[in-house]
Amino acid sequence: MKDVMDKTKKVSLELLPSLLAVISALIVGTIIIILIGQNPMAAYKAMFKGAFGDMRAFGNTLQRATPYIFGALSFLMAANGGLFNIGIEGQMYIGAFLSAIIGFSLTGVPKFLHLPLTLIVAMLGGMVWACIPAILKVKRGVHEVIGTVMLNYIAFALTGYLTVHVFHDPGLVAQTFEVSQSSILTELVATSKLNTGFIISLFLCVGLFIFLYYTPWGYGIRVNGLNSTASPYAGINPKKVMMASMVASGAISGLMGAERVLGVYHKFIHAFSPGYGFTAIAVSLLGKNHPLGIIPAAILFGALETGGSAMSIQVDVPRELGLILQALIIVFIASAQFINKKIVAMNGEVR
Amino acid sequence: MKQGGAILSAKEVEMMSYALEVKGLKKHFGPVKANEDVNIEVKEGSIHAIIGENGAGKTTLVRNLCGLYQPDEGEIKLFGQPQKFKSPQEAIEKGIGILHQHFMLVDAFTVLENILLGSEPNSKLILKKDLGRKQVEKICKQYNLEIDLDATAGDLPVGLQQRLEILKILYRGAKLIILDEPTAVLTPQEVNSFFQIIRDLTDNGCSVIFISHKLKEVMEISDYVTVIRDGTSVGTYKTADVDEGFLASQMIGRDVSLEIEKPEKKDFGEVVLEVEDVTTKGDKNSQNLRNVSFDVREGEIFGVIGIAGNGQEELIESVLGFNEIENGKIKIFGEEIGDKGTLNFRERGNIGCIPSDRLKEGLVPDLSVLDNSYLGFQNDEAILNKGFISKAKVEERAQEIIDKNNVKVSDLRTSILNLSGGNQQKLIIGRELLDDPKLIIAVQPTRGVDIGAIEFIYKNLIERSQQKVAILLVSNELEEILSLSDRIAVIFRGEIMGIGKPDDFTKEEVGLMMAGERLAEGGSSHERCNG
Repeated sequence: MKDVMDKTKKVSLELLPSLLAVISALIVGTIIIILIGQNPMAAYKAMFKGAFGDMRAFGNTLQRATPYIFGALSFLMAANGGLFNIGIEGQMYIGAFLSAIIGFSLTGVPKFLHLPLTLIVAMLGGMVWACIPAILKVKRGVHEVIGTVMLNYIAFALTGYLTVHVFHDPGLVAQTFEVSQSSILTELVATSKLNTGFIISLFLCVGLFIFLYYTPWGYGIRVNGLNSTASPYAGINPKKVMMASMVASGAISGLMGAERVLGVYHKFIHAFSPGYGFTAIAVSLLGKNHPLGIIPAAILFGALETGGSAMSIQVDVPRELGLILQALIIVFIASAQFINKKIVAMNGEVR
Repeated sequence: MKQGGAILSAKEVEMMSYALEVKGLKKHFGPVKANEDVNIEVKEGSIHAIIGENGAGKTTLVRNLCGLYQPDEGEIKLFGQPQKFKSPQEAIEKGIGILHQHFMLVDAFTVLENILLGSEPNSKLILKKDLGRKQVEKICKQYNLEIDLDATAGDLPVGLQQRLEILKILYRGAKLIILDEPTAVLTPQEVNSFFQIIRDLTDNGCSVIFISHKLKEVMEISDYVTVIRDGTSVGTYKTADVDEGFLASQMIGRDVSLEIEKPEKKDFGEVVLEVEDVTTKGDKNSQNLRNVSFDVREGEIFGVIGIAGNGQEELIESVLGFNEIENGKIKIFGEEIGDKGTLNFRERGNIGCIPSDRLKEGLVPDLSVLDNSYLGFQNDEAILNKGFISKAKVEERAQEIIDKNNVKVSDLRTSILNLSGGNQQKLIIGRELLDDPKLIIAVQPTRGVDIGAIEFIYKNLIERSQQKVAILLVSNELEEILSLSDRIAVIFRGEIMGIGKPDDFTKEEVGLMMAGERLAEGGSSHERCNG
């Protein structure tokens, strides 16, 4: 009994900064709505209804949450191993593009072969893209933030070039041909575009949770992320762990891109991402870099987007309020992390 | 608790004038009572030692005195005047100077520039070095502090850097000088000349607070001694009236035996660890090894002594297989390390390792006691169930470590940081020794732990060596090495200066070797080694 209570207490203490960040953002949002001259209660009510009001709304929310789940998993995978992967966006573009290529170039292949093959190629693409900065880091000491950021630009420009000049579906939009039916992720809720990719992301969350917290490998990765100087003394090779966690992170990013292409757009559209790979970092932080913690965080971010749109129709508050709330949460979660560090540093000083 | 016969009488106390009076000082950090009730009176012109175990509240006290912390309660009087320092700057202005454990020098600056830095004479814009030089030279003469003012600070040996730090303090007009564990970085010879400096300081009217956990040094240098335990000052004594044993028992609140009973050992077994002519080329920040050779046999404690930063780190990392060696051979259990590439020591056999820095190398501060209890053993079949870490097995193992080694912990799931340094170290030792390793590599095993834990660690190491375990012990504590080891090696700038039984050398000779002198045959004349 005491055990359960202790655990509950510990978990709620862990969640406290995240909850505070969300509540603070909502309070600031309230002030903004009042300044616009609208009723905050009505606005938030419309927002909630727009995000969770009916099956379609909820489907929309989950659909929007899906890339954040994948992206946050990718981020936390690298972060647990001690690396800051800010290249999720680029790895995602590579994965998305490759899944489109495999998706439209193969026809007449049964779905049970085509779809997995497409997903695997997307993952491999993300892996390769993540491998480059990882090798630079391990062999040459190039900071992974520099490496991944640079590769984001390259991925963006490369996929853009190939879309416009090589695989262009004639028309005004810079997009590739449509993928064949056999590679499409099935829609779960009509017109919401919520697809089986969401289910895959949930399985991945549980899988990564078990991997990180219940296997020797996952333990080694977490040890390296928390204290890499202790790694060699614990028989853990920091370089191997960094490589492995970055490669895994890249694979998940690739999958994230594939879900968008195979489940939502059914083609690769140049510059399709509104910054999924970057927002996902905030989602991961909000979810405490925990594979299960990121699920509610991602759903919250999805809800702010769908709810924001719905709100702008019903109440005279621009839909951007949803994005402002996202931004505020990011600001508050960042400062909460800072305050947390301060508290730890203070306690550490006590002799 | 019995009181020694040395408490000062009320009358005696009244007659003195005090440099510093601390009354009822209290400082809490949340639930942590760092200072609970500290009372100290430091007589002007005296050397006043403050001793206490790690975690007793010495550092917090110092920070309260120098304005880094503001006390929750209590009174601080400096030369009779009540003071409330809001910043270290204010404390310096009022005449408090602190010699920190870690030096705060600009390596690229000259000695003079370092002294003037931050309190330049006259103008902040134009540095009038000549004016400053005259003032500094005067201080040097007054306090007998010889130092070349134009030498580059970074090139000076540690002893001189410390002298420079003292000059900095004196230049800022300090009347009360607080020395925080000042001898930790010095060789025995340097300690002697350092003590002379302290005496010169008090001869010139300065008052000195000497903070230490080394009882021998406190006995030698101090006039008065105050013992702090659990954040509370438990008594102030005239040093001449008390002995080490009494002070030790006051520090931990019970009687302890500081004497190490080393059993007679006649012969040792097979060679377990063999280091043969090893040279390394690491990165430029660490001292490389040069032609290092020694071996450690079954049942033997082999001690490596040297001043910190003379290649001990490289030696340990080479033996553990963390970095490649350039030349030579390292064999463990008869197998050469190179044979298996740079395989980690955990995969090479039953080896236990007690690293030098608990929280950096031996534990993961963000994990619980439980999750730290199998660090390094995560691939061990003993804690796995079909490839997954079994919570039940892990808990059983953790409980065994805690029970066998008397680790004080309320809850397995509590953060490892909630344990005292001594208990953290006990957990590491318990973890590393649980599987009865055949080779133990212990680096600074007693660094920053309380006397109770030191007793425990020494007892454990000696017991293991009696059970035919080979032990490589690396430490900066000369006493520790001399009293535990069956053979010792002195390391200086990556070279072994001498190997022998502890009785083969006098303490002075070991000190000389630590400072880079090679003893010629017969040990009488010395040959300087220029590294």
